[in-house]
Amino acid sequence: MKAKAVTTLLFAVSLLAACGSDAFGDSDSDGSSTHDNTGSGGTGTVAVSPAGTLIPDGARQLAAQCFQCHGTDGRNDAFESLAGESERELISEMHEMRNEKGGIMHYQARGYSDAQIRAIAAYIASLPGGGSHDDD
Amino acid sequence: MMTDRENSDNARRGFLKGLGLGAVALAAGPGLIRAATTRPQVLVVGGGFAGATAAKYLRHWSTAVDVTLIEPGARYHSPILSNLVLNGQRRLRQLAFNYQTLTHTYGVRHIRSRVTAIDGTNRTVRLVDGRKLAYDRLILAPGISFQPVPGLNRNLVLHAWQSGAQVEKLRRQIAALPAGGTVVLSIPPAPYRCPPGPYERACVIADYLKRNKPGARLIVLDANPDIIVERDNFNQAFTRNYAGIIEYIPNAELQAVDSVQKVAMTSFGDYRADVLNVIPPQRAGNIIRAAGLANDASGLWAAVDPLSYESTAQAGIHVIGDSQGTGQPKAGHIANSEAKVCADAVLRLLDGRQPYEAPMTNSACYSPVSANTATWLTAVFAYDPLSGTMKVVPAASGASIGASRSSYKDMFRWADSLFGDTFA
Repeated sequence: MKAKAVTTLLFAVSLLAACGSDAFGDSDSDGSSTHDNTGSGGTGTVAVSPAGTLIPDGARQLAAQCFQCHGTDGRNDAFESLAGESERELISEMHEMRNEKGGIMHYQARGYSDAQIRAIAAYIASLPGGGSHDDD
Repeated sequence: MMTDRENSDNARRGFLKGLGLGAVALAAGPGLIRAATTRPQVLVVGGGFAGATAAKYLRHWSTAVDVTLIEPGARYHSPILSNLVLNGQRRLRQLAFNYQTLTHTYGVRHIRSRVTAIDGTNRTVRLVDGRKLAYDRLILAPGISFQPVPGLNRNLVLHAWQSGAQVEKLRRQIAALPAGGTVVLSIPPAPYRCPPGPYERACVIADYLKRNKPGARLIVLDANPDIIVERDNFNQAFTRNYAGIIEYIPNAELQAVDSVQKVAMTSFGDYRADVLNVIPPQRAGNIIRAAGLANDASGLWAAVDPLSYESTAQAGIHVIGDSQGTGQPKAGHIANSEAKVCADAVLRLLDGRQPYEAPMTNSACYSPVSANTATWLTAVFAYDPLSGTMKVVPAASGASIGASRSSYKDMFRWADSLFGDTFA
Protein backbone atom coordinates (compact mmCIF):
# COMPACT_ATOMS: atom_id res chain seq x y z
CA MET A 1 0.00 0.00 0.00
CA LYS A 2 1.31 3.43 -0.85
CA ALA A 3 2.65 5.54 2.01
CA LYS A 4 0.39 8.48 1.27
CA ALA A 5 -2.77 6.38 1.30
CA VAL A 6 -1.76 4.79 4.56
CA THR A 7 -1.08 8.13 6.17
CA THR A 8 -4.52 9.38 5.13
CA LEU A 9 -6.13 6.29 6.52
CA LEU A 10 -4.19 6.59 9.78
CA PHE A 11 -5.33 10.19 10.13
CA ALA A 12 -8.93 9.13 9.62
CA VAL A 13 -8.52 6.38 12.18
CA SER A 14 -7.07 8.75 14.75
CA LEU A 15 -10.10 11.02 14.32
CA LEU A 16 -12.38 8.07 14.95
CA ALA A 17 -10.41 7.11 18.02
CA ALA A 18 -10.72 10.62 19.40
CA CYS A 19 -14.49 10.52 18.93
CA GLY A 20 -14.96 7.16 20.62
CA SER A 21 -15.05 7.77 24.37
CA ASP A 22 -14.84 4.09 24.99
CA ALA A 23 -11.91 2.97 22.85
CA PHE A 24 -10.26 1.29 25.81
CA GLY A 25 -13.47 0.63 27.65
CA ASP A 26 -14.77 -2.59 29.02
CA SER A 27 -17.76 -3.15 26.79
CA ASP A 28 -17.73 -5.66 24.00
CA SER A 29 -16.45 -4.41 20.69
CA ASP A 30 -19.88 -4.75 19.17
CA GLY A 31 -21.03 -2.04 21.55
CA SER A 32 -23.41 -4.17 23.58
CA SER A 33 -23.31 -3.90 27.31
CA THR A 34 -22.48 -7.15 29.07
CA HIS A 35 -21.50 -8.15 32.53
CA ASP A 36 -18.05 -6.88 31.59
CA ASN A 37 -19.20 -3.49 32.80
CA THR A 38 -20.30 -4.49 36.25
CA GLY A 39 -18.06 -3.75 39.16
CA SER A 40 -15.49 -2.06 37.01
CA GLY A 41 -16.95 1.44 36.94
CA GLY A 42 -15.78 1.06 33.33
CA THR A 43 -17.19 3.88 31.35
CA GLY A 44 -18.92 5.70 34.17
CA THR A 45 -21.97 3.43 34.12
CA VAL A 46 -23.30 2.36 37.48
CA ALA A 47 -24.17 -1.32 37.66
CA VAL A 48 -26.73 -2.93 39.93
CA SER A 49 -27.50 -6.51 40.82
CA PRO A 50 -30.91 -8.12 40.12
CA ALA A 51 -31.88 -7.25 43.70
CA GLY A 52 -31.03 -3.63 43.04
CA THR A 53 -27.79 -3.50 45.03
CA LEU A 54 -25.21 -1.11 43.68
CA ILE A 55 -22.20 -3.11 42.55
CA PRO A 56 -19.24 -1.25 43.96
CA ASP A 57 -15.90 -0.60 42.35
CA GLY A 58 -13.58 -3.61 42.53
CA ALA A 59 -16.38 -6.17 42.90
CA ARG A 60 -15.39 -8.05 39.78
CA GLN A 61 -11.84 -8.77 40.89
CA LEU A 62 -12.98 -9.60 44.43
CA ALA A 63 -15.58 -12.06 43.13
CA ALA A 64 -13.05 -13.58 40.76
CA GLN A 65 -11.06 -14.70 43.80
CA CYS A 66 -13.78 -17.30 44.40
CA PHE A 67 -13.44 -18.79 40.96
CA GLN A 68 -10.23 -20.80 41.53
CA CYS A 69 -12.42 -23.31 43.36
CA HIS A 70 -15.92 -22.40 42.23
CA GLY A 71 -15.23 -22.06 38.53
CA THR A 72 -15.08 -19.08 36.23
CA ASP A 73 -18.03 -16.82 37.00
CA GLY A 74 -19.06 -19.31 39.66
CA ARG A 75 -20.02 -22.08 37.25
CA ASN A 76 -18.60 -25.33 38.46
CA ASP A 77 -19.06 -29.09 38.64
CA ALA A 78 -16.68 -29.79 41.49
CA PHE A 79 -17.32 -27.57 44.48
CA GLU A 80 -20.61 -25.76 44.84
CA SER A 81 -21.62 -23.67 41.86
CA LEU A 82 -22.20 -20.07 42.84
CA ALA A 83 -23.80 -19.05 39.57
CA GLY A 84 -27.57 -18.94 39.86
CA GLU A 85 -27.59 -18.42 43.62
CA SER A 86 -29.33 -15.31 44.80
CA GLU A 87 -27.46 -12.45 46.40
CA ARG A 88 -29.13 -13.20 49.71
CA GLU A 89 -28.18 -16.88 49.56
CA LEU A 90 -24.56 -16.08 48.81
CA ILE A 91 -24.32 -13.59 51.68
CA SER A 92 -26.03 -15.89 54.15
CA GLU A 93 -23.81 -18.85 53.20
CA MET A 94 -20.65 -16.80 53.67
CA HIS A 95 -21.84 -15.70 57.12
CA GLU A 96 -22.71 -19.27 58.04
CA MET A 97 -19.28 -20.55 57.03
CA ARG A 98 -17.58 -17.78 58.97
CA ASN A 99 -19.22 -19.02 62.13
CA GLU A 100 -18.95 -22.76 61.63
CA LYS A 101 -15.63 -24.33 62.41
CA GLY A 102 -13.54 -26.38 60.05
CA GLY A 103 -12.97 -26.48 56.33
CA ILE A 104 -11.23 -24.25 53.87
CA MET A 105 -14.34 -22.07 53.45
CA HIS A 106 -14.38 -21.24 57.13
CA TYR A 107 -11.01 -19.52 56.77
CA GLN A 108 -11.88 -18.03 53.41
CA ALA A 109 -15.11 -16.54 54.74
CA ARG A 110 -13.22 -15.00 57.65
CA GLY A 111 -10.99 -13.19 55.20
CA TYR A 112 -13.69 -10.83 53.97
CA SER A 113 -15.60 -7.97 55.56
CA ASP A 114 -19.38 -7.71 55.38
CA ALA A 115 -19.06 -5.01 52.75
CA GLN A 116 -16.79 -7.18 50.63
CA ILE A 117 -19.15 -10.12 50.93
CA ARG A 118 -22.05 -7.93 49.80
CA ALA A 119 -20.01 -6.68 46.86
CA ILE A 120 -19.02 -10.19 45.79
CA ALA A 121 -22.57 -11.49 46.15
CA ALA A 122 -23.99 -8.59 44.16
CA TYR A 123 -21.49 -9.13 41.37
CA ILE A 124 -22.00 -12.90 41.13
CA ALA A 125 -25.77 -12.51 41.21
CA SER A 126 -25.52 -10.00 38.36
CA LEU A 127 -23.68 -12.37 36.03
CA PRO A 128 -25.61 -13.81 33.08
CA GLY A 129 -27.77 -16.61 34.44
CA GLY A 130 -27.21 -15.32 37.94
CA GLY A 131 -29.55 -14.28 40.72
CA SER A 132 -32.94 -15.79 41.41
CA HIS A 133 -36.50 -14.97 42.40
CA ASP A 134 -35.31 -15.10 46.01
CA ASP A 135 -34.12 -11.54 45.62
CA ASP A 136 -37.68 -10.15 45.26
CA MET B 1 7.67 -16.56 10.50
CA MET B 2 3.92 -16.19 10.90
CA THR B 3 1.88 -19.35 11.08
CA ASP B 4 -1.26 -19.83 9.06
CA ARG B 5 -3.29 -19.35 12.19
CA GLU B 6 -1.55 -16.07 12.98
CA ASN B 7 -2.13 -14.87 9.43
CA SER B 8 -5.80 -15.66 9.54
CA ASP B 9 -6.06 -14.22 13.05
CA ASN B 10 -4.78 -10.95 11.70
CA ALA B 11 -7.19 -11.02 8.80
CA ARG B 12 -10.03 -11.80 11.12
CA ARG B 13 -9.20 -9.01 13.53
CA GLY B 14 -9.50 -6.68 10.67
CA PHE B 15 -7.81 -4.15 8.65
CA LEU B 16 -6.69 -1.79 11.39
CA LYS B 17 -4.96 -4.46 13.42
CA GLY B 18 -3.33 -5.84 10.33
CA LEU B 19 -1.97 -2.36 9.71
CA GLY B 20 -0.67 -2.03 13.23
CA LEU B 21 2.97 -3.00 13.02
CA GLY B 22 3.29 -1.98 9.39
CA ALA B 23 2.09 1.47 10.34
CA VAL B 24 4.98 1.82 12.78
CA ALA B 25 7.46 1.83 9.91
CA LEU B 26 5.48 4.33 7.90
CA ALA B 27 4.30 6.68 10.58
CA ALA B 28 5.81 10.08 11.13
CA GLY B 29 6.49 9.71 14.85
CA PRO B 30 5.55 8.09 18.15
CA GLY B 31 2.39 10.18 18.59
CA LEU B 32 0.98 8.96 15.30
CA ILE B 33 1.79 5.32 16.12
CA ARG B 34 -0.27 5.49 19.30
CA ALA B 35 -3.23 7.15 17.57
CA ALA B 36 -3.18 4.62 14.76
CA THR B 37 -3.41 1.61 17.06
CA THR B 38 -6.84 1.97 18.64
CA ARG B 39 -6.81 -1.46 20.13
CA PRO B 40 -4.54 -1.79 23.17
CA GLN B 41 -2.03 -4.60 22.93
CA VAL B 42 -1.24 -6.68 25.96
CA LEU B 43 1.49 -9.30 25.79
CA VAL B 44 1.57 -12.09 28.33
CA VAL B 45 4.81 -14.06 28.60
CA GLY B 46 4.50 -17.56 30.04
CA GLY B 47 1.47 -19.85 29.87
CA GLY B 48 1.39 -21.34 33.35
CA PHE B 49 -1.19 -20.69 36.04
CA ALA B 50 -0.41 -16.99 36.23
CA GLY B 51 0.01 -16.23 32.53
CA ALA B 52 -2.89 -18.32 31.26
CA THR B 53 -5.25 -16.87 33.86
CA ALA B 54 -4.16 -13.31 33.03
CA ALA B 55 -4.63 -13.85 29.30
CA LYS B 56 -8.04 -15.44 29.79
CA TYR B 57 -9.43 -12.90 32.25
CA LEU B 58 -8.19 -9.91 30.25
CA ARG B 59 -10.25 -11.14 27.31
CA HIS B 60 -13.09 -12.39 29.53
CA TRP B 61 -13.52 -8.90 30.94
CA SER B 62 -12.77 -6.93 27.80
CA THR B 63 -12.84 -7.81 24.14
CA ALA B 64 -11.63 -4.30 23.33
CA VAL B 65 -8.07 -5.38 24.15
CA ASP B 66 -5.86 -7.65 22.06
CA VAL B 67 -4.04 -10.24 24.12
CA THR B 68 -1.09 -12.26 22.88
CA LEU B 69 0.27 -15.15 24.91
CA ILE B 70 3.93 -15.90 24.23
CA GLU B 71 4.52 -19.45 25.40
CA PRO B 72 6.76 -21.95 23.59
CA GLY B 73 4.78 -25.02 24.60
CA ALA B 74 1.65 -26.34 22.92
CA ARG B 75 0.51 -27.40 26.35
CA TYR B 76 1.28 -26.81 29.97
CA HIS B 77 2.19 -29.64 32.33
CA SER B 78 0.84 -28.85 35.75
CA PRO B 79 3.22 -29.24 38.68
CA ILE B 80 0.07 -29.35 40.82
CA LEU B 81 -0.75 -33.03 41.34
CA SER B 82 2.50 -34.03 39.62
CA ASN B 83 3.75 -35.75 42.76
CA LEU B 84 0.99 -38.29 42.09
CA VAL B 85 2.87 -39.32 38.97
CA LEU B 86 5.72 -40.47 41.21
CA ASN B 87 3.62 -43.12 42.91
CA GLY B 88 1.75 -44.08 39.77
CA GLN B 89 -1.59 -42.50 40.69
CA ARG B 90 -1.65 -40.05 37.83
CA ARG B 91 -0.18 -40.04 34.36
CA LEU B 92 1.53 -36.95 33.04
CA ARG B 93 -0.92 -36.60 30.19
CA GLN B 94 -3.78 -36.21 32.67
CA LEU B 95 -2.00 -33.11 33.90
CA ALA B 96 -1.40 -31.52 30.50
CA PHE B 97 -3.49 -28.53 29.42
CA ASN B 98 -3.58 -26.92 26.00
CA TYR B 99 -4.50 -23.38 25.06
CA GLN B 100 -7.40 -24.21 22.76
CA THR B 101 -10.08 -22.56 24.89
CA LEU B 102 -7.97 -19.50 25.42
CA THR B 103 -7.45 -19.09 21.70
CA HIS B 104 -10.77 -20.31 20.32
CA THR B 105 -13.22 -19.05 22.94
CA TYR B 106 -11.39 -16.07 24.36
CA GLY B 107 -9.55 -14.95 21.24
CA VAL B 108 -6.11 -14.94 22.81
CA ARG B 109 -3.38 -15.10 20.18
CA HIS B 110 -0.86 -17.79 21.10
CA ILE B 111 2.64 -17.37 19.73
CA ARG B 112 4.80 -20.39 20.36
CA SER B 113 8.07 -18.63 20.95
CA ARG B 114 10.29 -17.13 23.61
CA VAL B 115 11.11 -13.55 24.49
CA THR B 116 14.83 -12.84 24.34
CA ALA B 117 14.87 -9.11 25.02
CA ILE B 118 12.59 -6.41 26.35
CA ASP B 119 12.77 -2.71 25.51
CA GLY B 120 10.80 -1.15 28.34
CA THR B 121 11.26 2.39 27.07
CA ASN B 122 9.90 1.77 23.60
CA ARG B 123 7.56 -0.97 24.79
CA THR B 124 8.64 -3.76 22.50
CA VAL B 125 9.81 -7.32 23.03
CA ARG B 126 12.05 -9.33 20.76
CA LEU B 127 11.36 -13.00 20.12
CA VAL B 128 13.84 -15.77 19.45
CA ASP B 129 13.23 -15.51 15.70
CA GLY B 130 14.01 -11.82 15.73
CA ARG B 131 10.40 -10.66 15.45
CA LYS B 132 9.54 -7.56 17.47
CA LEU B 133 6.15 -7.08 19.08
CA ALA B 134 4.91 -3.78 20.43
CA TYR B 135 2.87 -3.61 23.60
CA ASP B 136 0.88 -1.19 25.68
CA ARG B 137 1.19 -3.44 28.72
CA LEU B 138 3.50 -6.41 29.22
CA ILE B 139 2.74 -9.13 31.76
CA LEU B 140 5.64 -11.44 32.57
CA ALA B 141 4.84 -14.80 34.15
CA PRO B 142 7.88 -16.97 33.42
CA GLY B 143 7.85 -18.92 36.67
CA ILE B 144 11.05 -19.94 38.40
CA SER B 145 14.58 -20.65 37.36
CA PHE B 146 17.15 -22.51 39.42
CA GLN B 147 20.19 -21.12 41.15
CA PRO B 148 23.34 -23.04 40.36
CA VAL B 149 24.72 -25.46 42.96
CA PRO B 150 28.38 -26.50 42.66
CA GLY B 151 28.54 -29.83 40.87
CA LEU B 152 24.82 -30.07 40.23
CA ASN B 153 23.98 -31.30 36.74
CA ARG B 154 20.22 -30.99 36.55
CA ASN B 155 20.02 -33.49 33.69
CA LEU B 156 21.59 -36.21 35.84
CA VAL B 157 20.23 -35.25 39.25
CA LEU B 158 16.60 -34.42 38.64
CA HIS B 159 14.53 -31.70 40.30
CA ALA B 160 11.16 -32.62 38.73
CA TRP B 161 10.01 -29.23 39.98
CA GLN B 162 8.65 -27.95 36.69
CA SER B 163 6.55 -31.05 35.89
CA GLY B 164 6.89 -32.60 32.44
CA ALA B 165 9.51 -35.10 31.41
CA GLN B 166 11.56 -34.89 34.61
CA VAL B 167 8.63 -36.08 36.71
CA GLU B 168 8.26 -39.19 34.58
CA LYS B 169 12.03 -39.80 34.72
CA LEU B 170 12.05 -39.46 38.50
CA ARG B 171 9.17 -41.90 38.71
CA ARG B 172 11.20 -44.43 36.74
CA GLN B 173 14.27 -43.85 38.91
CA ILE B 174 12.24 -44.51 42.06
CA ALA B 175 10.58 -47.56 40.51
CA ALA B 176 14.03 -48.96 39.73
CA LEU B 177 15.31 -48.44 43.27
CA PRO B 178 16.93 -51.60 44.63
CA ALA B 179 15.33 -53.10 47.75
CA GLY B 180 16.94 -51.48 50.77
CA GLY B 181 18.01 -48.56 48.58
CA THR B 182 18.20 -44.93 49.60
CA VAL B 183 16.39 -41.94 48.15
CA VAL B 184 17.71 -38.53 49.14
CA LEU B 185 15.51 -35.46 48.73
CA SER B 186 17.04 -32.00 49.11
CA ILE B 187 14.73 -29.09 49.98
CA PRO B 188 15.97 -25.55 49.22
CA PRO B 189 15.76 -22.54 51.51
CA ALA B 190 12.48 -20.63 51.41
CA PRO B 191 11.10 -18.94 49.44
CA TYR B 192 10.63 -21.57 46.77
CA ARG B 193 7.78 -22.71 44.55
CA CYS B 194 5.03 -24.56 46.46
CA PRO B 195 5.82 -24.46 50.19
CA PRO B 196 4.20 -27.82 51.09
CA GLY B 197 5.38 -29.43 47.85
CA PRO B 198 8.66 -31.02 48.98
CA TYR B 199 7.12 -32.42 52.16
CA GLU B 200 4.23 -33.76 50.14
CA ARG B 201 6.73 -35.36 47.76
CA ALA B 202 8.55 -36.94 50.68
CA CYS B 203 5.28 -38.47 51.88
CA VAL B 204 4.28 -39.76 48.46
CA ILE B 205 7.70 -41.31 47.88
CA ALA B 206 7.75 -42.81 51.37
CA ASP B 207 4.28 -44.26 50.80
CA TYR B 208 5.52 -45.83 47.58
CA LEU B 209 8.64 -47.23 49.27
CA LYS B 210 6.58 -48.60 52.16
CA ARG B 211 4.39 -50.55 49.76
CA ASN B 212 6.92 -51.53 47.10
CA LYS B 213 10.50 -51.36 48.35
CA PRO B 214 11.00 -53.12 51.68
CA GLY B 215 13.91 -51.74 53.64
CA ALA B 216 14.23 -48.65 51.46
CA ARG B 217 14.85 -45.30 53.15
CA LEU B 218 14.19 -41.68 52.31
CA ILE B 219 16.53 -39.04 53.71
CA VAL B 220 15.01 -35.56 53.64
CA LEU B 221 17.68 -32.86 53.74
CA ASP B 222 15.91 -29.60 54.50
CA ALA B 223 17.89 -26.35 54.18
CA ASN B 224 15.22 -24.71 56.38
CA PRO B 225 15.37 -24.88 60.18
CA ASP B 226 12.08 -26.78 60.34
CA ILE B 227 9.16 -27.89 58.17
CA ILE B 228 8.10 -24.52 56.81
CA VAL B 229 4.37 -25.14 56.44
CA GLU B 230 1.74 -27.48 57.96
CA ARG B 231 4.35 -28.47 60.48
CA ASP B 232 2.10 -30.69 62.56
CA ASN B 233 0.58 -32.44 59.57
CA PHE B 234 3.86 -33.31 57.90
CA ASN B 235 5.69 -34.05 61.12
CA GLN B 236 2.94 -36.50 62.03
CA ALA B 237 3.22 -38.16 58.64
CA PHE B 238 7.01 -38.37 58.84
CA THR B 239 7.22 -39.70 62.39
CA ARG B 240 4.13 -41.90 62.53
CA ASN B 241 3.10 -43.06 59.05
CA TYR B 242 6.66 -43.27 57.78
CA ALA B 243 8.68 -44.02 60.91
CA GLY B 244 11.65 -46.12 59.93
CA ILE B 245 11.46 -44.91 56.34
CA ILE B 246 11.87 -41.13 56.49
CA GLU B 247 14.80 -39.51 58.21
CA TYR B 248 14.22 -35.74 58.37
CA ILE B 249 17.29 -33.53 58.77
CA PRO B 250 16.69 -29.78 59.14
CA ASN B 251 19.30 -27.03 58.65
CA ALA B 252 20.97 -29.20 56.05
CA GLU B 253 21.99 -26.66 53.46
CA LEU B 254 23.20 -28.19 50.22
CA GLN B 255 26.76 -27.06 49.51
CA ALA B 256 27.67 -29.21 46.53
CA VAL B 257 26.60 -32.27 44.59
CA ASP B 258 28.44 -35.11 42.90
CA SER B 259 25.99 -35.66 40.09
CA VAL B 260 27.62 -38.82 38.83
CA GLN B 261 28.09 -40.58 42.17
CA LYS B 262 24.79 -39.11 43.44
CA VAL B 263 26.16 -37.58 46.59
CA ALA B 264 24.61 -34.58 48.33
CA MET B 265 27.18 -32.62 50.30
CA THR B 266 25.78 -30.60 53.18
CA SER B 267 26.95 -28.82 56.28
CA PHE B 268 26.22 -32.06 58.17
CA GLY B 269 28.19 -34.26 55.87
CA ASP B 270 27.78 -36.22 52.66
CA TYR B 271 24.73 -38.29 51.81
CA ARG B 272 25.05 -40.91 49.15
CA ALA B 273 21.88 -41.87 47.27
CA ASP B 274 20.62 -44.47 44.85
CA VAL B 275 18.10 -41.86 43.75
CA LEU B 276 19.00 -38.23 44.38
CA ASN B 277 16.27 -35.61 43.97
CA VAL B 278 17.62 -32.11 44.45
CA ILE B 279 15.11 -29.28 44.40
CA PRO B 280 17.56 -26.42 43.86
CA PRO B 281 17.31 -22.94 45.38
CA GLN B 282 15.15 -20.79 43.14
CA ARG B 283 14.87 -17.34 41.64
CA ALA B 284 12.73 -15.54 39.08
CA GLY B 285 12.47 -16.86 35.54
CA ASN B 286 15.38 -16.06 33.26
CA ILE B 287 13.72 -13.26 31.27
CA ILE B 288 13.10 -11.35 34.51
CA ARG B 289 16.78 -11.34 35.31
CA ALA B 290 17.85 -10.69 31.73
CA ALA B 291 15.58 -7.66 31.63
CA GLY B 292 16.98 -6.24 34.86
CA LEU B 293 13.71 -6.70 36.72
CA ALA B 294 14.87 -8.96 39.58
CA ASN B 295 15.14 -6.02 41.92
CA ASP B 296 13.67 -7.17 45.22
CA ALA B 297 15.83 -7.02 48.37
CA SER B 298 17.29 -10.46 47.70
CA GLY B 299 17.93 -9.74 44.04
CA LEU B 300 16.14 -12.99 43.19
CA TRP B 301 12.59 -11.88 42.43
CA ALA B 302 10.80 -8.97 40.78
CA ALA B 303 9.65 -6.22 43.13
CA VAL B 304 6.14 -5.12 42.14
CA ASP B 305 3.25 -2.98 43.34
CA PRO B 306 0.67 -5.44 44.71
CA LEU B 307 -2.18 -3.25 43.43
CA SER B 308 -1.29 -4.00 39.83
CA TYR B 309 1.84 -6.19 39.91
CA GLU B 310 3.59 -3.48 37.93
CA SER B 311 7.36 -3.72 38.23
CA THR B 312 8.96 -1.08 40.42
CA ALA B 313 11.91 -1.14 38.00
CA GLN B 314 10.05 -0.47 34.76
CA ALA B 315 6.68 1.09 34.11
CA GLY B 316 4.36 -0.78 31.77
CA ILE B 317 5.70 -4.19 32.77
CA HIS B 318 3.84 -6.39 35.24
CA VAL B 319 5.16 -9.54 36.88
CA ILE B 320 2.86 -12.19 38.32
CA GLY B 321 3.16 -15.72 39.68
CA ASP B 322 6.29 -17.28 41.11
CA SER B 323 8.61 -14.65 39.64
CA GLN B 324 7.26 -11.72 41.61
CA GLY B 325 8.51 -10.86 45.06
CA THR B 326 5.56 -9.57 47.06
CA GLY B 327 6.14 -12.21 49.69
CA GLN B 328 2.98 -14.11 48.89
CA PRO B 329 3.60 -17.86 48.69
CA LYS B 330 4.68 -19.15 45.29
CA ALA B 331 2.06 -21.57 44.00
CA GLY B 332 -0.36 -22.11 41.14
CA HIS B 333 -3.57 -21.29 43.00
CA ILE B 334 -2.37 -17.93 44.25
CA ALA B 335 -0.70 -17.23 40.90
CA ASN B 336 -4.15 -17.51 39.33
CA SER B 337 -5.43 -15.20 42.07
CA GLU B 338 -2.71 -12.58 41.41
CA ALA B 339 -3.37 -12.78 37.68
CA LYS B 340 -6.94 -11.63 38.23
CA VAL B 341 -5.83 -8.63 40.26
CA CYS B 342 -3.29 -7.84 37.53
CA ALA B 343 -5.75 -8.28 34.66
CA ASP B 344 -8.28 -5.99 36.30
CA ALA B 345 -5.59 -3.41 37.04
CA VAL B 346 -4.21 -3.53 33.49
CA LEU B 347 -7.66 -2.95 32.02
CA ARG B 348 -8.19 0.00 34.32
CA LEU B 349 -4.76 1.44 33.51
CA LEU B 350 -5.42 1.09 29.78
CA ASP B 351 -8.62 3.00 30.39
CA GLY B 352 -6.76 5.83 32.11
CA ARG B 353 -7.92 4.81 35.58
CA GLN B 354 -6.03 3.73 38.67
CA PRO B 355 -5.97 0.13 39.91
CA TYR B 356 -8.50 -0.89 42.51
CA GLU B 357 -7.14 0.12 45.89
CA ALA B 358 -8.03 -2.92 48.01
CA PRO B 359 -7.20 -6.14 46.21
CA MET B 360 -7.54 -9.53 47.87
CA THR B 361 -5.82 -12.77 46.96
CA ASN B 362 -5.95 -16.23 48.44
CA SER B 363 -3.94 -19.41 48.59
CA ALA B 364 -5.23 -22.93 48.93
CA CYS B 365 -3.44 -26.19 48.49
CA TYR B 366 -4.23 -29.82 49.11
CA SER B 367 -1.29 -32.17 49.67
CA PRO B 368 -1.45 -35.94 49.32
CA VAL B 369 0.39 -37.56 52.19
CA SER B 370 -0.36 -41.15 51.25
CA ALA B 371 -2.11 -43.05 48.49
CA ASN B 372 -5.52 -42.08 49.84
CA THR B 373 -5.23 -39.23 52.35
CA ALA B 374 -4.43 -35.56 52.03
CA THR B 375 -4.09 -32.39 54.07
CA TRP B 376 -4.84 -28.83 53.10
CA LEU B 377 -3.93 -25.27 53.96
CA THR B 378 -5.41 -21.93 52.99
CA ALA B 379 -4.98 -18.20 53.58
CA VAL B 380 -6.64 -14.97 52.53
CA PHE B 381 -4.43 -11.95 51.82
CA ALA B 382 -5.48 -8.31 51.88
CA TYR B 383 -3.63 -5.22 50.73
CA ASP B 384 -2.22 -3.27 53.64
CA PRO B 385 -1.89 0.36 52.53
CA LEU B 386 0.49 1.27 55.37
CA SER B 387 3.17 -1.18 54.33
CA GLY B 388 2.17 -1.43 50.67
CA THR B 389 2.19 -5.21 50.94
CA MET B 390 -0.23 -8.12 50.89
CA LYS B 391 -0.77 -9.42 54.40
CA VAL B 392 -2.58 -12.51 55.68
CA VAL B 393 -5.93 -11.46 57.11
CA PRO B 394 -5.88 -12.29 60.84
CA ALA B 395 -7.78 -15.50 61.58
CA ALA B 396 -8.17 -16.17 57.85
CA SER B 397 -5.55 -18.84 57.48
CA GLY B 398 -5.47 -22.41 58.61
CA ALA B 399 -4.71 -25.99 57.78
CA SER B 400 -6.50 -29.27 58.12
CA ILE B 401 -6.09 -31.08 61.40
CA GLY B 402 -4.33 -34.13 60.10
CA ALA B 403 -4.88 -35.96 56.84
CA SER B 404 -8.13 -37.53 55.68
CA ARG B 405 -9.70 -39.48 52.86
CA SER B 406 -12.32 -36.80 52.29
CA SER B 407 -9.54 -34.23 51.84
CA TYR B 408 -7.93 -36.58 49.34
CA LYS B 409 -11.16 -36.56 47.30
CA ASP B 410 -11.51 -32.79 47.68
CA MET B 411 -7.98 -32.45 46.38
CA PHE B 412 -9.10 -33.55 42.94
CA ARG B 413 -12.14 -31.26 43.04
CA TRP B 414 -9.87 -28.38 43.92
CA ALA B 415 -7.32 -29.19 41.24
CA ASP B 416 -9.94 -29.76 38.54
CA SER B 417 -11.64 -26.47 39.42
CA LEU B 418 -8.35 -24.60 39.28
CA PHE B 419 -7.37 -26.22 35.98
CA GLY B 420 -10.75 -25.27 34.54
CA ASP B 421 -10.71 -21.69 35.76
CA THR B 422 -7.21 -21.25 34.33
CA PHE B 423 -7.28 -23.11 31.01
CA ALA B 424 -10.91 -23.78 30.12
